[in-house]
Amino acid sequence: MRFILIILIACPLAGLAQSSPAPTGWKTNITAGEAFGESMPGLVLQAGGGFRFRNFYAGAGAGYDKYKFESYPVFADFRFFPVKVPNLFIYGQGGYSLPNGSKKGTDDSYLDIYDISGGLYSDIGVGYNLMLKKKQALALSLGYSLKKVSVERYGYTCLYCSGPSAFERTTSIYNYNLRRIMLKMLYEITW
Amino acid sequence: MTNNFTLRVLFCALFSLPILFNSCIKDSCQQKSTYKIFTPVFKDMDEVRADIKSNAPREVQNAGKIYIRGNYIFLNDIDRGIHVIDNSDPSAPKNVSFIGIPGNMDLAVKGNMLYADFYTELITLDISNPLDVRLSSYRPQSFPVRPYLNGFIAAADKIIVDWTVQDSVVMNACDVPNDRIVYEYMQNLNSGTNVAAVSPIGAGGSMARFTIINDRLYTVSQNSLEILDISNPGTPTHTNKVTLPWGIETIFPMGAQLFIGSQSGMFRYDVSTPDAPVSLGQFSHARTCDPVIADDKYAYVTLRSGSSCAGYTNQLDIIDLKITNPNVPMQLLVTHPMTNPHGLGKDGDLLFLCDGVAGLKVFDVSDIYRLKPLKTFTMDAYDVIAYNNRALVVAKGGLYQYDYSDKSNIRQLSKITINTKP
Repeated sequence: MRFILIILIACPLAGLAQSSPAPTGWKTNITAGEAFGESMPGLVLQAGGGFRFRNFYAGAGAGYDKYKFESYPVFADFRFFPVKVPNLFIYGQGGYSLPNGSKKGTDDSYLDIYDISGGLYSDIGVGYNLMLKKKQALALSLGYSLKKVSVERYGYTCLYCSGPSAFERTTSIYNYNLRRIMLKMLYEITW
Repeated sequence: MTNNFTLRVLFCALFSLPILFNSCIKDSCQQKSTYKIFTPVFKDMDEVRADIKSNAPREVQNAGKIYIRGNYIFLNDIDRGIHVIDNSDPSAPKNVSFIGIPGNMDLAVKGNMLYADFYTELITLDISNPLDVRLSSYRPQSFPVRPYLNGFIAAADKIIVDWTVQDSVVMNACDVPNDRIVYEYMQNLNSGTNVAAVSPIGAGGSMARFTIINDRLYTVSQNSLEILDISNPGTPTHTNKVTLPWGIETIFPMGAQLFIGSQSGMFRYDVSTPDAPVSLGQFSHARTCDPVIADDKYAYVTLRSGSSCAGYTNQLDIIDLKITNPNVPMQLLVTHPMTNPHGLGKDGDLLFLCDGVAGLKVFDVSDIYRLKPLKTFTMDAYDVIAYNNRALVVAKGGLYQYDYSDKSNIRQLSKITINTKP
């Protein structure tokens, strides 16, 4: 539902495109979006900055990603603007997704403690710049993203069910590969 | 105008693509689980019975229940047997022999006889010479139902005498319950049916499941109280069985009364008529594990959570024993929060409480509403016997002895190291 709403908002904005944004200079941006996958959609927020020189942009950013497991991605950010369609860009983000801490399980049948660790974060896709003012732009992008998360759980199996060493610890590592579609709206200022 | 329209159409088409992609995107998960796989080692029942006697001392591996008789300590090594420790010099106890009893978890002593469980059998050992212990008699099927290692069942004519341990890594999809893998694997190793039983007394600990009052041996299983006549010490005979609610854990004698701890409450029985226990009431609490001890005024119940113990309660409850009407619930007088309390012992005004990783705590309980902490010893304590100015503590890593003759100077006398092994 949220996905459809974003499309409904995004479509009319296409008419705002007047000219391509300033091609060269330092830029900062903030991004809001949504990740859509097999699990419940998750909010994505990002902030970053970088430098654009002619058709290339290179920068870095960090953000918040709520999809399935809350995490904080830090990433390098690249964009390429084809000469013939200067408002269109192809982008790629790659980095590491930091976990939102470790959590203690709540299973009351036995002690169940787990640690969440991060992993690769990537997002590649295409976007389109819509000029708002001379040095401000709004961009919409669509990408395919992979977030890796590792969850390590420690369970305790009743071994002798008596005595000081009654419980044997078992360890399970769950490696998640979360593949999502990323729909993002980016607001950018050129300095 | 045309350009704008085209752009708008393209734009909308592009951003509608996720609807088409939606069915392709997946969250995949791979599970890597690390276990210890326990494989049973079998022996013929007769062969094992013949070997139940004093053997050379062995290293303590998984200390369980304890029992003191005179200058000797009998220490259960869970599922392996009983260590005999010469404690004539408490500052330098000696591990003098080992009685191999597979499946042993509990023991009790009366006179020169030691009663122990040997899987489903109750065995009687002659300990008149603690250095030359001999099997006196055995009583099959005394404990017909005994849960063992997640329901593992051994063959009828054989018993499990040991386990080989193997680390194992299993890869699976995340939605496969990992516990099940272990059980199935273990059941595949299984060849048949059988198994048995339960714990100690005399000066026994609060975690005991065996206890003796005069000529009766009382044992508790998961849901029953069994009574055995031991007036002829060498040949125990079953006299009665009292059905109890599920979740029974411990039994503690006080005069002619029995205090039975369960996961849902404490039951109190009068055994003035030894074979016909009369209920004196019960105290119900949240579902947790709860060893219990009592004196002539109060019952002391520790409630703990974690592991197989459900709930989130960790506390010491002190209960009034004035009410002896089974229809009137016993009254909780006061609750003291604890960390993860296990066994406890009391001598006079001193209460020794094994508070798990928080250590062994010693309190002055002359005022039950305001416990006065006297000392805390750092250890992962499990059970304690406080007897005749000596406290004997089973903890992870060792069997400790303390001298509390001077309560302002409670001091460690000795430690026997326990190298816990699976």
